[in-house]
Amino acid sequence: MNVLVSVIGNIGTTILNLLVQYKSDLGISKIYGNKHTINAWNEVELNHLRNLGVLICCPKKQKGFEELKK
Amino acid sequence: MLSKKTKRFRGIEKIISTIDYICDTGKNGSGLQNKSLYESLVNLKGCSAQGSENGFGISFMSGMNEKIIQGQKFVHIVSCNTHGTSSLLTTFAGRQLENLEAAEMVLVRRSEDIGNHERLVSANVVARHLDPNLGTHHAIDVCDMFAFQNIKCNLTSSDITTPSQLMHSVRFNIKLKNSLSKADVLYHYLVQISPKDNLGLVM
Repeated sequence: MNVLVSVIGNIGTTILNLLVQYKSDLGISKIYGNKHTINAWNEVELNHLRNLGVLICCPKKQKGFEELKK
Repeated sequence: MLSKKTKRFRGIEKIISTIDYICDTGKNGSGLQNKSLYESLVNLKGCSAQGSENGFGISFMSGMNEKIIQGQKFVHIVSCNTHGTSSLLTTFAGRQLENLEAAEMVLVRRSEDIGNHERLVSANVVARHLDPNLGTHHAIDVCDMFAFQNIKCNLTSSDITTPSQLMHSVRFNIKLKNSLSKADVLYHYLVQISPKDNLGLVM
């Protein structure tokens, strides 16, 4: 089962951490987190989630981030 | 500037069709706005949205109505204030509100989350009552949730928003039909946080 948390904010971050903690109990294969607006000060938090195994996503045509690569 | 490593993100468009479950935790209105998109995802098994998205799906609160959401594709997780208010009511008046005569509460809430900077207020702001008997949307939401279980809830709420990002608090006055002991309150509380109706407690 693949789960998406959209958006990574106050509630989303909490849910992502819970999903990571109970990933196997819940039968989850992949956990995705969607961040609409990515600012420089989000970097530490996003990398923390990524290190926990969360796959970070963002809208393709986000202003200023059109050149983001997969 | 973002580091090169941080810039490597997946495009949401590429993975959305592979998703089985979505937790929509966006800002006010996003869940309702996105619902038609979610309905179009043929592989999606379930979806939940946060407290502000009243009408997104069946209203749910942990420890209150687990059975009612079984098999439901769209679930509305009631707000933090609905959780707090309902927890107070069931702790003192019982899970079915069987001992509740009437209650009134004042929700003292922060203007916004600590990570946001959009709704800050410069001074205390009192919300208008949306209903002459129920008051603000908090009591309306709580009564709606209990109504899903055919439970009548005599509650009035008011709301004041403070220039703070720290937390919410509740001032409450609950009138009970019958007096209750400390053991009764503890029992109600433990039943509420237990997934089972009967804990087999020795009190």
